[in-house]
Amino acid sequence: MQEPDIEVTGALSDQAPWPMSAAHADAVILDETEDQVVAEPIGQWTLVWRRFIRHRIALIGGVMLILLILMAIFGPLLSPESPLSFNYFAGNKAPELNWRYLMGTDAQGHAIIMYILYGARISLEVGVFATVLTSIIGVLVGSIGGFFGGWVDAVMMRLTDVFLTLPFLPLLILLSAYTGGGNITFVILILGLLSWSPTARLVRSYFLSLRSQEFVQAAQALGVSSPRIMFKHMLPNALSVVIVSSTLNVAGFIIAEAAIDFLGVGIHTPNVSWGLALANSESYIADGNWWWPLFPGLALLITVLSVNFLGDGLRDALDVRAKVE
Amino acid sequence: MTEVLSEQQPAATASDVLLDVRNLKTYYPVLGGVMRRRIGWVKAVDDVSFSIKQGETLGLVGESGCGKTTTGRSIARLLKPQSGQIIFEGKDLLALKGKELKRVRRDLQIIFQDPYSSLNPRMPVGEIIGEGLMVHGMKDRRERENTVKYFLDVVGLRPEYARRYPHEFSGGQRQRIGIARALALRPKLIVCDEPVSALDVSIQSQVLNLLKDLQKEFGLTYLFIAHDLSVVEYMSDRVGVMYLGKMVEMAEAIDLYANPRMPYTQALLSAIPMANPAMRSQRQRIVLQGDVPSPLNPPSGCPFRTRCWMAQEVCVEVNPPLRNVGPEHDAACHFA
Amino acid sequence: MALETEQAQRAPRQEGTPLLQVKDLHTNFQTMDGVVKAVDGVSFDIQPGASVGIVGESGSGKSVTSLSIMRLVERPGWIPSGSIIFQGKDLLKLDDEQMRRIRGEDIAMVFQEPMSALNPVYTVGDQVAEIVRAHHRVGKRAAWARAVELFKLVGIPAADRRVHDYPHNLSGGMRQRVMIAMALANDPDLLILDEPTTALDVTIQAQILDLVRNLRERVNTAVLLITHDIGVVAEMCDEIIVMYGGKIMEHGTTHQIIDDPKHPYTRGLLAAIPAMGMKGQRLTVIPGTVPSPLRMPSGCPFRTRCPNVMDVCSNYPTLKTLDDGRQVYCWLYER
Repeated sequence: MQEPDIEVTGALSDQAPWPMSAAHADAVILDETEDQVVAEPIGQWTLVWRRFIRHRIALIGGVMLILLILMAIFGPLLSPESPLSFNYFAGNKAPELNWRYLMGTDAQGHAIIMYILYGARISLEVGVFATVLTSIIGVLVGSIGGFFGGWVDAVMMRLTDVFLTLPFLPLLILLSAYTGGGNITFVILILGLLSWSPTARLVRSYFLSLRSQEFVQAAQALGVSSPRIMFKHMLPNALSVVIVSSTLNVAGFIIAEAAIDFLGVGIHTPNVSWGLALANSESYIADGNWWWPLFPGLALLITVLSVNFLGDGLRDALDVRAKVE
Repeated sequence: MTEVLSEQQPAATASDVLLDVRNLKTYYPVLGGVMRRRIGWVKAVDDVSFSIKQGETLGLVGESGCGKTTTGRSIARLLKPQSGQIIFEGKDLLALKGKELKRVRRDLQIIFQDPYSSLNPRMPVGEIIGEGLMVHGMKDRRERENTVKYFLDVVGLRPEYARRYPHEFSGGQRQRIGIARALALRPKLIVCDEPVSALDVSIQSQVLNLLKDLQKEFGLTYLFIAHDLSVVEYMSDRVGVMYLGKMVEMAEAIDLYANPRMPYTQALLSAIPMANPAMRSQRQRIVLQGDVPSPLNPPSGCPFRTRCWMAQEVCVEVNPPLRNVGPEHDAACHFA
Repeated sequence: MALETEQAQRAPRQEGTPLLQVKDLHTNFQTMDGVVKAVDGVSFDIQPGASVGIVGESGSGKSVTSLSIMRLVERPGWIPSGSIIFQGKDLLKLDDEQMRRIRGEDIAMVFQEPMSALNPVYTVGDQVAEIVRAHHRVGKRAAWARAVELFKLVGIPAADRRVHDYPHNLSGGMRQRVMIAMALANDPDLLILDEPTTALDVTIQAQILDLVRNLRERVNTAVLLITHDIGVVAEMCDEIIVMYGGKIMEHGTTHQIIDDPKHPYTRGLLAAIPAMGMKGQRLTVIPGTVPSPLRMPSGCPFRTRCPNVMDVCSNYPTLKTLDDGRQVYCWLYER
């Protein structure tokens, strides 16, 4: 692929010292006015950051999410009990101003706040890792299909279609029953492996439109290799859509995880999750203990909203073409 | 080979011809139906032959859809032509692959129309210009940076700009960056694909002057593609006029503009809006009827006959070949 | 402020009540990085039946001027001051319903991109007939008959069949003819053409320009043509306004502007165009680029690129009316 160094360097330097004739002098002197260009070059990420912090709702979402992550990390330290702790406290207790009973207790006397603090970890882990998995598979499949086109694209897209048409829930229940399920890795793998199709399609359509952009053709004309064009030129330009769709995926996966817990094919006890707390509350709602489903539900709502807000802000901030000056 | 060549282009001897395009055909498939099968071809470039001499500028003009851009991209090997030969320094570009093709790309660069989409928004200018150098073996970072700075200076930008991103520049500055990118590989031929049509008038003249200066300084040969006839006349030594994928007239620029032989060229020239009222009163205005026919379904015989005021029976039946009608002047018309 | 009233009264070479008087128009846009003064104190008159061209480069404010006249400036843009007197009424003081009636009936506009200005799901005849019916109490049949008549007027061949076509069936030139037919549907007194031929090929451009010229002989409509192409205005208009950086630089008859430009910017613009027979000569260059609209220089916007720049140019020049009646905004002509 690479040519001998000496040859090119030679070809380029045999002209040296380069002619600095007066022919282009006017172009130099008559260069665009000074004030046209900003005094200090702003890096891409500085620019993104500047735009992001102007987006108030996204900022709120980001701060909320950071708090949630801190909660997931330090939650077990803050929790008045562990899910495994044997307890002899009163069940079905309404919330009161007391750390342990702040959100009430469930039928077995476990503090709802324990579910919230421990469950944050599960929810975020599932959301983040399943998203990373879908993004990697989706980007690979989509970029290969979109870049090479032709039969490669056809194969990639049929594969995508197959995964898109797989009946998600029945498959999940089946696999869960087959493997025993119940642990978080299983949930992440299932969600990740079955949900990359939309990402792949998105990336492909982006690559198709990027292919016709002149900077990609310019790279081809320079003799840049296909993998380098794909990953150095096209992917960075598609990255903003991947990031935005990924944040939205995170929210989707958090909800999906809660849903499959609710159906009893996700996380099992002794693990705890928000979805599980919701599921367990189901048969007791008639008793009027509203706090049991309310707080896990609120936790889910706040997380998903924060992630969506963040995604919204990123969408605006990552658009390089919108100029900040 | 050289004999065939000298027959077609009597004035061009084999030695000073840099690029020789012979019977170039570039077709686009038209897909249709549920299965996206090919149901036809758009003959974007249909049997076009011409040559460019070392150091000259050949202009290509025509309206949208005439195939001028496709011709340029075929020569830059960004498209795969159906058939024909593109002989560059004795080698047929269409037969080259892999390493050999990559080596030729260094000698054959392209400048694009759109100063916005032609630069990768995620790359600093220094990388945009330096990438070609790196790909072609200049591995030393320092050397590359110096070369980039030198070429920024050559195109009239400050060397410090290397660290900035494209969005920080105006359209004219971006076009200079695109020129520096092409120039950095020290090519022999540059395909200029509408290099100034997206720029404001006052910026356009800056870039045109720059291109002329660079040609002198670096001994470049240009294929200059544009729809603006005054710009092409100003830039080119010889000019080819294209219509519906065919070359319909080719002559020395001064001769073509003073004495167009093909009716289409006459109409095209008369349609240029002119500021100068004295020149306006001199010319005879020809306003063509109708539109350019769809390239999907071109007319039989002469492609221009549907809009031509001179069309006869013979134009329907026979497509006139490009033939010599004067010194260094070819036209494809039965009546030229 | 006294100046603007004065200049409005001294419109170049024409008497009688102007059809349109734009007085000290300002149009701003709020961006994330500050206020852009897209149109910054523009005043001119259009006489009934006149043809006036506004020429300028991108960012000169020429299109925003035309949108302001139509009151089509939308948020984040607004018009902080100025007046636009059309047939005695200040358009900026009308309510939305009154303005709606003026648009399309008294003032009509043709845009650059005919494809995006036409609705793809209706036939072109439907769309023309709808415009007719929006302003006149006529039946469907009469509106369609009018549509066919208009199509014939703008030179669309086989008009009675073309009315049934959808926009995508038509070529760019034909679509622009449909747009002109729509604009003429209610015999407007002022027709604004915003870059009407920029998206078209040169031979099609010639057709459309020919059409507009012929129409002006047949229907007595004043035309305001917005374009970046000085050749197009020169061929189409009797009067030319040259704009730069949101301000008027020079305003005079076509003859004055083209043959004897006074403002350094107009001179530079004309000299920068490669003309036939300039081969081998170097093109004259206006150095630099248009300054960013957020960082327009104070005073004359052209002073950063002007070859004749003086100290006084940091103040915006007052209007000079030269002996031949043309208006120049430049300190060079201070007496």
